Amino acid sequence: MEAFKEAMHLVFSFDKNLWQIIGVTLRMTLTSTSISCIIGIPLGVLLGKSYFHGKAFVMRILYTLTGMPPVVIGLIVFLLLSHQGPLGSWKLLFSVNAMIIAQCLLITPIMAGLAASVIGINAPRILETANGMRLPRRTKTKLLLLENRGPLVTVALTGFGRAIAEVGAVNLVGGNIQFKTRVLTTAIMLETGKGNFDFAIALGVILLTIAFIVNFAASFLKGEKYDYC
Amino acid sequence: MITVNSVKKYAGERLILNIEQLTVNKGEKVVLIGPNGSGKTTLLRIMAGTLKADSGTIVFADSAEPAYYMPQTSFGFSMSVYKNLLTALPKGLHKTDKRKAVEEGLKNFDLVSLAKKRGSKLSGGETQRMALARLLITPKSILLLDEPASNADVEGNDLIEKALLEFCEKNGTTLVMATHSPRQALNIADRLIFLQDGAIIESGAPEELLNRPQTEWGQRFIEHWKV
Repeated sequence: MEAFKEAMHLVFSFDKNLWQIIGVTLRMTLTSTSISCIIGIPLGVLLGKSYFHGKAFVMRILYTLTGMPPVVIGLIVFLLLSHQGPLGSWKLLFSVNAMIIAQCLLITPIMAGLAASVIGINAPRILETANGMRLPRRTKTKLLLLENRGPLVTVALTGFGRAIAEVGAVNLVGGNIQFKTRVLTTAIMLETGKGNFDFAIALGVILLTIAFIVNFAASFLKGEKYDYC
Repeated sequence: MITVNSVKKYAGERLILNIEQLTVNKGEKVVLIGPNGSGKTTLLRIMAGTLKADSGTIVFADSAEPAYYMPQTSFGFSMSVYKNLLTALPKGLHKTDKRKAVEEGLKNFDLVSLAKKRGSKLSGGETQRMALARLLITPKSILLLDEPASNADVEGNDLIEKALLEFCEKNGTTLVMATHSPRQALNIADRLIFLQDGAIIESGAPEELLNRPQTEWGQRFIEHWKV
């Protein structure tokens, strides 16, 4: 309760440091989640509904990528973006964009894998019915997505959850620089290391609150009142 | 006319469908009967193009239109029943014509009271009635139906049979349908085909097969019907 009071005090005292951290966290998480949704979900839908030679192998690779340790991804992105790396000229290392790249690499396979798995379960019945009705391709795709909108929103939320809670990769490529790349998770690590537990717990409460608000908002998208045609 | 020539389908090493020759004439109503695993669904799915045969050909002559297919487990889309029927109509149709077609479909299949209910919330029998109403909302040349009334109650069964017969009569539709119900088969069929282990074991007009079943399975089917 004390930590919650401390968190509320920090938020409403408009602590510049805290709001900067929240801003960077939201920018990084929402951008990486959006990019991963745009790439990962269509890829997963395509994989889930298609049958082709070697699909099992592609899926195995995808599922392997979903288990990639964040620090390994952080290391790869670090080496790519470092001064002597192939993308060093982009000068992105220790920036929010570098953190976004690392997060996209981390959560896109997760979203694609989950979307493929969700669509793989429901697509055969939906498509067999739609094919039997000889519906146009566009209508079939629309129906497939709308009939699976609940699980697909859950997939996006899983990606968001993974992104907002991530610490290893963003610490490596972002560098936890104050007023620049410090996010809630890296700040919690730092404050805990300094023995500043109240502040660390308050940051944790804020992190949980953001996750709750996003989940709550997403539940409306999954809601039964959504209609179409 | 539909001609099925030397169609074979394997599940791994096992031959699950082996149809040497089957011809369905224009406007004919053919009913496939057989025990579970006899190949009824496989044959219908191959004819509908949702499953590929390993060999053989299927030719649809006299029809520029594709065959329409209703699977055994038709999907009720989660929109309202009214909108489920709307999805099956061509986009270019005028709003008034669309409404008229949907209302007629709802009436024919006793779905008026369910029009606002979600397609995904219907019972098995209601879903089948809705799926059939959705499919029969516009005239069709060829219909392939896989147990269209398997979940329906007695009234639902009668309704489906009546609507189906009227539809085929009105549009000169060629019908190939699978069922487990002897009564339904005899009420609808111009020709009955008995399938067993993926092959046609008997075929002929219902009266002919009823009086002179040639195979043991045919005899059992007729005894069951008489009971």
